[in-house]
Amino acid sequence: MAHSTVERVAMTAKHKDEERVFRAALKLKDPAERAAYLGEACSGDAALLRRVQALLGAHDGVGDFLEAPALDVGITWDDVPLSEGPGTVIGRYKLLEKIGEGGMAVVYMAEQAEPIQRKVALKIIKLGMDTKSVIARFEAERQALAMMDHPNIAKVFDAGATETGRPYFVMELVTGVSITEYCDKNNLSTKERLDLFIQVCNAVQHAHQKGIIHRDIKPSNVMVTQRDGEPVPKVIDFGIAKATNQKLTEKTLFTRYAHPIGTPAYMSPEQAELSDLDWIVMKALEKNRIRRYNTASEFAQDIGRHLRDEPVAAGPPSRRTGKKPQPAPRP
Amino acid sequence: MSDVTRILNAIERGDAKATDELLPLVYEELRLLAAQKLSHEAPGQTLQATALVHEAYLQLVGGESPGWQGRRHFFLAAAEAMRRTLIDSARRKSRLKRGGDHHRIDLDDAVLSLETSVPLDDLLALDEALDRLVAWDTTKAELVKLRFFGGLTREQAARALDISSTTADEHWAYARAWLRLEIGEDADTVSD
Repeated sequence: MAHSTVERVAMTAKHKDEERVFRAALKLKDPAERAAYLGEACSGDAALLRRVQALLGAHDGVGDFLEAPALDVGITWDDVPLSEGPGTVIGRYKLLEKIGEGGMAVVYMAEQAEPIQRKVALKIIKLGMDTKSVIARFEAERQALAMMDHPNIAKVFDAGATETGRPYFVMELVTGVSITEYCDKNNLSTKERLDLFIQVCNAVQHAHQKGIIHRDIKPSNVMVTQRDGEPVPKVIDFGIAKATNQKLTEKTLFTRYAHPIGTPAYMSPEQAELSDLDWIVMKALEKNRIRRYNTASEFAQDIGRHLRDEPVAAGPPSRRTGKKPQPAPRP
Repeated sequence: MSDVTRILNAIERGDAKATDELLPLVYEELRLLAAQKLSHEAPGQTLQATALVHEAYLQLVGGESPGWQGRRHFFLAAAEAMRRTLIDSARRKSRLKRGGDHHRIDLDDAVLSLETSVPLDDLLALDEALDRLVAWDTTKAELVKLRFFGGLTREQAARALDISSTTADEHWAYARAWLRLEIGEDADTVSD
C-alpha cells in the first residue's frame, strides 16, 4: 500500500511518539507512577493514551512470543511438497524435467493437456525468491516477451501463479542447440550461417520496433530448432530486457563482447584489402554512431546484399569526406 | 576469496546493487545444508535455524571478516531466505486446510513439512505486519527478522546491527508489543 511522503512522515512521527511514551512508562514499575506519567505525557491526546496502554498491555502478555526462532521445532515427514519438481502440477501444466536455471528462476519442460496437448517451457520464480523486486523483474520479462509476435522469438502462451502466489509463465518450448553449436555441428558454410544470422537480426529489429532492448543477446540465448527440415533460430530468455518509451529506430544493440578492431578512417592500405564481410562486421562494431548501422534491419540488409554479391554500404571511408567511395553500378 | 566475500566487500564499499546478488547465493547454501542435514537425520529430528544460518556463514564467508555492514547484509539475506521459505510453506498449508487447493500435488517422494514455533495464521499475519514495520522503523524490523527468522541470539543480532545489546533490548520490547497488537489480541505464544 503506497503512502505519500507526507503521510509516511506523519505515520513515522506518530509511531515515534508512541514508542517514546511506551519506553518511558515501562521504566516506571509502580502502577501509580506510571499512570501519572501517562496522564501527563498524553494530555489532550486520547488516541495516544489508548495506543500506549494497548502496547503496554501487549508487552505484559508477550511471554516468549518470537523468542524462539520460527524454525526451531521438530520436523515431520508429510506429503506436502516443499518445492516443485518433475511430476508437480501447476495450473494446466505437469512438470516433466528441469531444462534451465538462473539466479532467480527455473525453467521446466512441461506437458499441457487442455485445450491442446503439447509440450511447453514453464518458467517460474524459484522458491524463496518471491520478493517484490524479483517479481517485478519477472513480470517485466513476461510482458516484454508477450509483446513479441515473430517467428524467430519464443512465444508466450500463458501466465499465472501457483496456489501460494508465485508467478510463472509458459512459453513455446524450443528444442535445439545454441546457434553457434548448431552451425559448428552441421558444418554450415558462411553463407548458411549468415542466412541464419539475418533471421536473428530481424527478430531483434522486431523487438526494437516494440521498444524492447534485449541487452543480453549471445549465442546461448539464440537457439536453433528444426521445422519442416529447415533450421529456425529463436531468441529466448528476455531476462534482462528493458522496455523503452520510444521505438528504437536510431539506436543499435551491441553484444557485451564487442570491441573495436580498428578505426576505419585511419586504416592502412594493407587493411584496405579486407573483404566486404570484414567491413560489415567492423561497421556493426563501430563505436561512432555516425559510421555504424542505424538499425538491426540495416545490418541485416547489408548482409543480404553481400550474399547476393551486391555492393554493400560498409567499407573504407575516403580520407577527405569520410564517405565511402561508391562502387561502380552493376551492368 | 569466495563470491559471497566479494559481494560483502562490495556492500562495505557502498555498492547497493551487490545486495541483490547475495540472496540467491545465501538461499542456495541454506537449501543445500538443510537437504544435507535432512538426509542424515531420521524423521522427528529438529532442524534449527540458528545452526543452519551459522553454518551457511562459515561455508560462504569462512575466515574472512567482512565489516559489520557486510555481516548485517549476510544475516539479513539468510533471515529473508528462511522467511520466504517458511511463508510459502505456511501459505500452502493454509490453503490446503481450507480446501482451496484442487490441483493434486503429485510427487513420488515423501517430502517434509516444516513446523514452526508460531501458529500458521499468526505466521502469515506476522509476515504482513513485518512489511508494515519496515516502512517506519528499519532497525526494529531487521532485529525481528534476524532473531525470529534468522535464529540469531540477542547478542548476535545486536552485533550484526552494530548496536549495543541494551539498545537492541529496547527495540525488541517495543517491536514485540507492537507486533502482538498487529496480529491480534488472541495470538498464542506457544503452538500446541
